Order: sequence, then structure tokens, then C-alpha cells
Amino acid sequence: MMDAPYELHGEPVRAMRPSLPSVLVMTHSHPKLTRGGAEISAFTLFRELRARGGKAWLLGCSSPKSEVRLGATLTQPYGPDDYVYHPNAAFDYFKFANPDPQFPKVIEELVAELKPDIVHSHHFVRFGVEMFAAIRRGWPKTRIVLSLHEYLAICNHHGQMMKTKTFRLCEKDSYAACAACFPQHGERDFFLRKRYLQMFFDDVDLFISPSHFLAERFRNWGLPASKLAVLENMPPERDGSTADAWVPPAVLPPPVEVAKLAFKPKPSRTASAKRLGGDEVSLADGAEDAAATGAALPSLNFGFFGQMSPLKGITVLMDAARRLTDLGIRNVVIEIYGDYSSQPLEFQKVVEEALEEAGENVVFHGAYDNSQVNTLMQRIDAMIIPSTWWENSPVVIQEAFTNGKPVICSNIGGMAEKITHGVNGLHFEVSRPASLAEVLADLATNPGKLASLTAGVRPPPTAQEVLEQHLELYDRVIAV
Amino acid sequence: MSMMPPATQSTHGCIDFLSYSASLDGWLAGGWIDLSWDDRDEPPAYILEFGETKVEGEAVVCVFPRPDVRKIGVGVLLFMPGVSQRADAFQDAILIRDGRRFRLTASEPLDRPTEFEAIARTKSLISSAMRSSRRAHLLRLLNRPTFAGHDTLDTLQPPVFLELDAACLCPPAGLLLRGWFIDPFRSVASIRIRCGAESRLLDTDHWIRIPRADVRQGFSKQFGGLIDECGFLAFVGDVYSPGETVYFEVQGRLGDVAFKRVAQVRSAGVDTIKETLSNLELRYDELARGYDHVLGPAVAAMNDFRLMEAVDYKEMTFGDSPAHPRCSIIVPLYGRIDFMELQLAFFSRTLGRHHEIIYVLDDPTILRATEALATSCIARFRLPFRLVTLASNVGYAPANNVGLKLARGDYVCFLNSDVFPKTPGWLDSMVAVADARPEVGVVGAMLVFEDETVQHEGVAFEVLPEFAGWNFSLHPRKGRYPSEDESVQEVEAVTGACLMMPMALAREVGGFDEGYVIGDFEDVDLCLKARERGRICVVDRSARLYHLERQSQGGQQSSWRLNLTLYNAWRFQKRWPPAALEQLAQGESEGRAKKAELAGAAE
Repeated sequence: MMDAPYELHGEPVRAMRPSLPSVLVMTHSHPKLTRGGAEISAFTLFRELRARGGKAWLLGCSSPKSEVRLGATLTQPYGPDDYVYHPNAAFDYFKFANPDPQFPKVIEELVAELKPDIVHSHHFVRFGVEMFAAIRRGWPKTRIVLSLHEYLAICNHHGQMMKTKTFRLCEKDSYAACAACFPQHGERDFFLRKRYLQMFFDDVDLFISPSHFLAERFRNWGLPASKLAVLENMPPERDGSTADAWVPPAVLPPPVEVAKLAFKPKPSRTASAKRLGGDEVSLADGAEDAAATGAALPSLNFGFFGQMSPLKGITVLMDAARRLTDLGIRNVVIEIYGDYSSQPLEFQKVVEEALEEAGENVVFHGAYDNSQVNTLMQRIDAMIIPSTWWENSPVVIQEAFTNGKPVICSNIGGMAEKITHGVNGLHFEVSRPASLAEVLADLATNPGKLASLTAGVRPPPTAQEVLEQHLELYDRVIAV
Repeated sequence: MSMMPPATQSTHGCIDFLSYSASLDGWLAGGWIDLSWDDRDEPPAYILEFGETKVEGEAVVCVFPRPDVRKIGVGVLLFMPGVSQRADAFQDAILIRDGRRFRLTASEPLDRPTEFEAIARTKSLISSAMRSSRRAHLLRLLNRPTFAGHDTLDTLQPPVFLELDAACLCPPAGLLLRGWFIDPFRSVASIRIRCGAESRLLDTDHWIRIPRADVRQGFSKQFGGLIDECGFLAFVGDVYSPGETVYFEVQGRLGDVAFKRVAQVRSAGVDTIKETLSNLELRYDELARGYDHVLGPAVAAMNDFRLMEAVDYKEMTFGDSPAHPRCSIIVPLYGRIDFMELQLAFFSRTLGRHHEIIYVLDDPTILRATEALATSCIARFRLPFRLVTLASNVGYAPANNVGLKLARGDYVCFLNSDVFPKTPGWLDSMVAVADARPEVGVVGAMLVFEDETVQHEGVAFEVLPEFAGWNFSLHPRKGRYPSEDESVQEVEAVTGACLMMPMALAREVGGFDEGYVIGDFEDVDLCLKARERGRICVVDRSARLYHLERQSQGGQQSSWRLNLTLYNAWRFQKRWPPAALEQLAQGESEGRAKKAELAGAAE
């Protein structure tokens, strides 16, 4: 698939770069205002380019709370190379059109003024896909690069590629299937939506996808393979001097008192005659006795980091934990770092009930500060990503690898691509708690297996390395 | 009493009073007549002269003794059934018997009593007339009950039920009546509709039966043998005059008469057209009768009235459209303005700047939103266009015609808002086809659905037996995969969804016929007008566009919309009967043969 001119060769090609291309980095929300994955990647890219002495500018959209200057569409509250766009019209989230009549002129003039070699946008929402045409008009020589962060252009369901009613995974868009998910729109609306998006995507010179999986989905959707490159997002900024540092797995921070929430001791049961939701779980030879007592085995701590939403599979995880208790596995603790306060009320109740009923093997810590992520990850033995949707390239995988932790994830999409089963983590069947319980029980009863997976973890590329790969792509796209 | 007639004129009597009786549908007059008049039962012919206008028929004549004229004549009373005229223009009444003309001239001054005074006076005078069957007949007429402003229908025995749901004016003076009628004992001889001096018989020709199960069920316990179709839709022309009461006059077989007042007459508009065409399902032969006598004239009158006043519009320009465009694209907008946004986006990649685009907003309710979107579109897509906004919703043909009036191109391309270009240069290709062949009057495009199957590759006419054997315009191969063929092909007609023609020709034929309501058949009508002038219609199969058909008019076809299509079909048959279509086709093939012959001779 990636037969394109954009296949990366892995080797940083030039430590001795004569001059860096000038880059206008765009993101749909200014990183000073929100801290989503795309914003962080954009900001890191901007920062690293400047750290290398290159010319770079940043343009992000304002938040509703941003200070508005009457009549000013573009402001610079954060410095001379840093721009904030204040959208002045209700954005069309169906076909990602920006009806703001000011913006095309503003972006056109800005690009004409800056004359960047590259405009690298980390999103098209809020700016609108028409911006690519305006950028092209403003400075025809510029090359336009767009990072894809999810399946938004393909799927109207928040770009999740999951069915709206059943939440089943969706393999491919079609006008009929999309209209079935959204009865308020007809098939022809989806036809026009796609045509509109693809027409403006024509002006994009290069699409960067952080996973082959996502790239493949976009190729199936109609983007030319020759314009698609797979490249990991810029890794997130770290706190203080430890930024991008590879933390060796052996060094553990001192244990910290954790805020315990849900503890409801339950009588432990033996593993005999266990049927887990109809799925027979077979434990490894000789493990059954050990599991039943739990005495001789070391305690294993698995971590969940992130939003406690249905898509992130929190209920799958809680169910699996219950099944472990039912199996009599007592040397496993699942530590949950995350928050569910922004979830719909109904789902909040589901989570609360699940926590209420959870056994001793679940510890709920609540929300965490991202600056603490490395410290917290050091306390766990492995990461669990039980997402029920495809994911793209979850940043927690990079964070887990940075901390030398293997990852157990659902066997689909971008996450399954990033984790090699049996090397630096394990896959389980998506949305099947029994399958996850089986994998965890296996690790709990075979201590050597986790050690081998931990040894299989390789550090993710550093920001400098990823930047170098970006520069290589920029060079190629400029040369085309 | 009466003045002698002027001596210069040869007269045989005099008319002293004259009055039109609407309830009797004729003229009542009294005066005297020459002694030579042969008074017998056989009715004489009469002519009433009102200046240039004459009313003729057979008169009922009764003579009576009149001492004041006893040496030269006798008193005479006349009833002359016929239509109303202005009584002040009356000059002479002429009776013709055995080939002899008796001229009775108007006395000066002529007495013109009211209808009721005339009836009373005639009754009083006739009492002294000799007994005859004529006298008896006239007395019967004079004693008929008259409408006194209130309903008397419930006095009829056996009972008759007549209710009106709506009466709509079909300007200038027609009425469309919707209601239900039950005559369980078949005792009704006739129903007339009356207004002022006018009256019209409601005959079955001007009456469509409509199922009203609710009414039948309501009466089925009382009466047996009722049918579902007791509802009616009736049209009467030339009866209404403003300010006069409209009422039904129901006459029984025994001569008894009762009245029913029409409480309210509604004015004509799109709503009344919709209402008229709702809840009807006419098929086969009832279709032709229903549209010929009831729906056709009624809807035509309402639509003419609706379009009587020139539509008010204003124009805004976005960007600089060319002063002398090659082609003017005209797109009427209704409801979904996001189609304008999408079209302009797609046009920005498929259209040269030497064409102009004119949007005609035929939906004043979304004026502000359209203006805002237009401002945004020019900023985003940089493609100049003109936006014409109409002050009222007038429909497809009139909206396009406003655009046509303002267009500046050498050609005009009528385009639907749900048509989106597929190939670049589509319009240049169509213009080139017309440029190359002067005989081409209309160029259509190859239109496909979003799944790439055929929506339109030319129109063919086909007779549909279910629909009165009328000709309908069909799209052959619709829904099938198109062939790769990119040639130019001659067709019977093309769809108005994308129809290009020379501007001069479009103006010469007067654009679209606005008599078609809302949007059907006016496109093929336009094509036939071009063919009538010796031009041909072609489809340029290399010009490809998507047509997301009927998106702009909502989904499921409602009954009124289907019936409106049938109205337009009816209008089309009247304008282009099958014989006219055949003649066109024959003329064209003869023309082709002749051309080929000439070409052969030239070689």
C-alpha cells in the first residue's frame, strides 16, 4: 500500500541539514486552550521545529472563552509567531464547511505574508476543508500536509466508525449504511458530503496517518495511496527535564499512597466449575491450584489510563475484573486512572454501580494530571487498553512504552497494529470480557510471560527522531 | 300608461317594463302588442336586442285585455328564458311567428323593476288573462319559491342532504365546490348554483365523485343502498359576482324547490390549488373527464390569477460576473439552500469564468439565511454569481423566467439545484455542440445518480393507459448503467434539470410556459416549442452531471403533488395532442430526408 514516495526509510537521513523548511503548523484548537492529542502533537511539532532553529508559526482556533477583539478575526495573544483564529459562524460539522466569510481571506492573506514552504494542519474542523483552497490561492508554492487523527471525514458518527444504534464496529462507509446510522440524512446527503470533502482534500499534498490501519481506511475511502504516509504523531511533551527521556524499566519510584475508592471485599471463590459468561476459561497447566490459593504468585498491577467511557472499554475491564475474582485469581490488581464525570449521566450510573460492586482487585484512583503519567505508570506492571472502537494511535501506548510497560489491548484497529501480540503485549478479543480475563489470568499464573513481554518493549521514537521523519516527508513533498 | 312609440319606426307594440329574473333564468316583460298578433299555444321565437348584443330563444306569451290600447292592440306578458344582460341597453323585443316579425320597442322611460317587483306585477296582470296552458305555465313559474336568504333544504320531502366543505373562486367568475350530497330516494331533478343574476346547472359532466366513507357510514343506519362516492368536486364557470350571495337551488322531481346558501367563497392561491388536488385518485378515463371539465379549468383559473401580477424581485451580485458571458446558468432555489453552497463549491472546479451563474431564490422565508450563505460562498469559492430573490414563491417556470429576463449570455442553461457537475468542462462541451450545429435548439446533458446509473440521457414520450392514454415524458434506461458512448445524440426532448439553449431562441419562445404549476412538463414543452421552430434537441453524452432527483421537493409524493403532475400532464396534452407530436416527428424526418437528398445531389 505504502508504495508511495512517502515510505520512510527509518534512518535519520541528515544530521547536517543546510536549512529547514518553514512551516505553518495549524491545529483546530489552540494548544494553550485545550490539550487534546492533535493539539499536543501540533504544539510539539512547532516547538521542536523552532528548537532546531527552523522558521515555524502556529495557528490555532480560539475557545468560546477566548478574548475577542471586535472586528479582528486573527489575534496574537501568545507571541509574534503564534496566531489565534476566532471563528465567526456556526461550523457545519456534517461536511466540515466553515461558513465564516472572513476566514478564507484571512488565511489566504496570512499564507501570502508568511510564504511557508509547508502548511501542516492537524485538523480541518473549525477551519473548514475549504481552507486548503484558500491556502493554495494565498501562496501557490506552499505544500499542504494534513495529519489524520481519527476517521471523521469517513464517518459522521464522531469519526468512530461504529454504528450509531448498536455500537457495533463498522468496516466501511457506504451511502446506504451511513444513512441508516443517520436517518435525518439521506444517502444523497452522504454522497454530497463525501464529494465535498474529497474535492477540497484534492488540494492537500500529503496526508499523514499515525497508523497503517487508519491510512488503509482512508485509502479505501478514496484518498490516493500516493498521497498517504504513515508516521507516528509527535510524542507528547514531558514535564521538566525528563522530556522524551527513556525511563529504564528497572528504576521504580517509591510507592505512593493511592487514593482508594471502591473496595468491597467479597468471599473469594475457587476456580472450580467456572463458566464465564458461557466461555470456558482454561488456565495453564498446573496453574489452577496456584490460582485457587493465589499464595505463591507475585502480585500483578495492571493500569487503565484515560477516559472512562464506553468506547474506551471501561465496562469490559470491570467485567473482566469480576470474572478474575470468580476464577479465584487473587494476585491481580487493576488500577484505574481516569474520570467519568464528563460521561452521559446514564453511563455515569453504570460506572458507579460497577465500581460499587467491584471486588478487591479493582482500585479506582480518579482523574490524574498528565504531568504525573510517568510516575504513575511506573507503579504498574502492564497497561490495559480495552477500547471497543478502532482507536488510531492512542498516546498511552507511547507513554506505556516510554515507561517500559507492555500493553494488553483489544485485537482491532490502530492499537492492535501498535502492539505486537506476544512481543510487547497481548491482544484479546474486542468487547469480550471473558477473553480479557483469560489473558490476565494467564499472565497472573505465568509470571515468566510478563517478564518476557516487558523485555520485548522498545522505547518509542523520541520527538527529535519523529521530527526528523517529518522533515524527511516535508523534503519529499517539496520535491514532488 | 305607455307612451306611443316614435312615429318614424315601424313597430307592432311596446315594452313597458323589463326585468331579468335570476331565479327563473330569463326575462320578464310587459307591454302591448298589435291586434294582428295570433294568440295561440305554439311558442314564438324571440330576439331581445341590447345594442350589438342579442338574446334569443322561445318566449312564453300571454295576452290580456288593456283598455288604454284597445283600438290598436292588447296587453302582453312575456317570459323569455335566456341569459342576463344590462337592462339599460335594451332597445327592442322582436317576436317572430309564421315568418312575421313583431317589433316591440322600449317605452321611454322604460320601467326596470327589481326581479321580485317584476314577478309581483306579472302575477297581478296575468290574473285577467284568458285561461290557457301558457297562462298556467307562466303562473307556475311565477309561483316558484325564491331564495330569501336562508336555507330551506331541510324542508324537502323526501329528505336530501347537501353540505359544502369549501367553495373556491376560480377567477374571474368560476367556482370550485367541494362537499358531499346524499339523495337517498333519487328525488332530486336538478341542482343549480346561483349568484346574483347568474345561474348554472350542475351537471354530471362538471362533477367529480369522491369517496366519502365517513359520510356514507354516518347515514347508513338511516338509509340503505348508499354508495361511498357521495363526495363531490364541482366546477361552474362564469357565475360568481363579488358581493352577491351564492346559493344552491335544488329542485325535486315534483317541482318543489329548496335553497342552500354557500357561506363563504375562498380566494385563489397555491394553498387552494393544493387543497383542490388533495385526496383525489382519478385514473383511466375518469381522468380526462375530471380534468377537462372540473380540475383543468379550475386550476388553470387559479394559477392564472396567482401569476397575474408581475413578481417583484431584487438582485444582488457576489463577485464580478462577466459582462458578456458565453452562457448564463439559471438555478431556481427552493427549500434547501445548502445545494447552492455545494453547487458553487463544485462549479468552482468545473466551470470557466466566462459563464455567469444566476440563482433565483423562490422562497422568501429563507431570504436572510440565503444572503448570509451567499456571502460565505463567494469568500470560500471565489466564483462570482448573481442572486435574484423573489418577493413571493412563484414556482419553477416563473422563477426561471425571471432569471431568463436578467441573463446576459449567448446561451442559457437551466439547471436544477440538485444537479452537481461530475466532469470538468461540462458546460463548454454543451456550448460547443450548439455552436457547431445551428439546427440545434436544445442541448441536454448526461445525468447520473450518485451510484453512477442513468438518471437522464434524453426524454421519450410514452402513452400511459392508466393515465387517460396521455403522453408522458419518460427517461429511457433510467437506473441502468450508462454506456461509455460520449457522442451527441438527437432525442425527442431533454429534461429541464439541465437544459441549454441559445438565448435568442429561449426568449423567442417566451421561456417556460408558466401555466404549468410548480414544475412538470414545462421543460419538454419548451423543447417542443423549439422543435416547432425547426430546431432539434440533442443530448451531449460527454457532459456528465449528477442529478439527485427530487431532493429539492421532499421525499414521498403526496397525493396533491401527483395530481398536480396530472394537471400539468393534462395541460401538456391540450397544448401538444398526440397528433401534433406525430406531425412534428414526421416533419423532422422529412426534413432530414430532404437534407440528405440535397447533400447527395451536391456530391
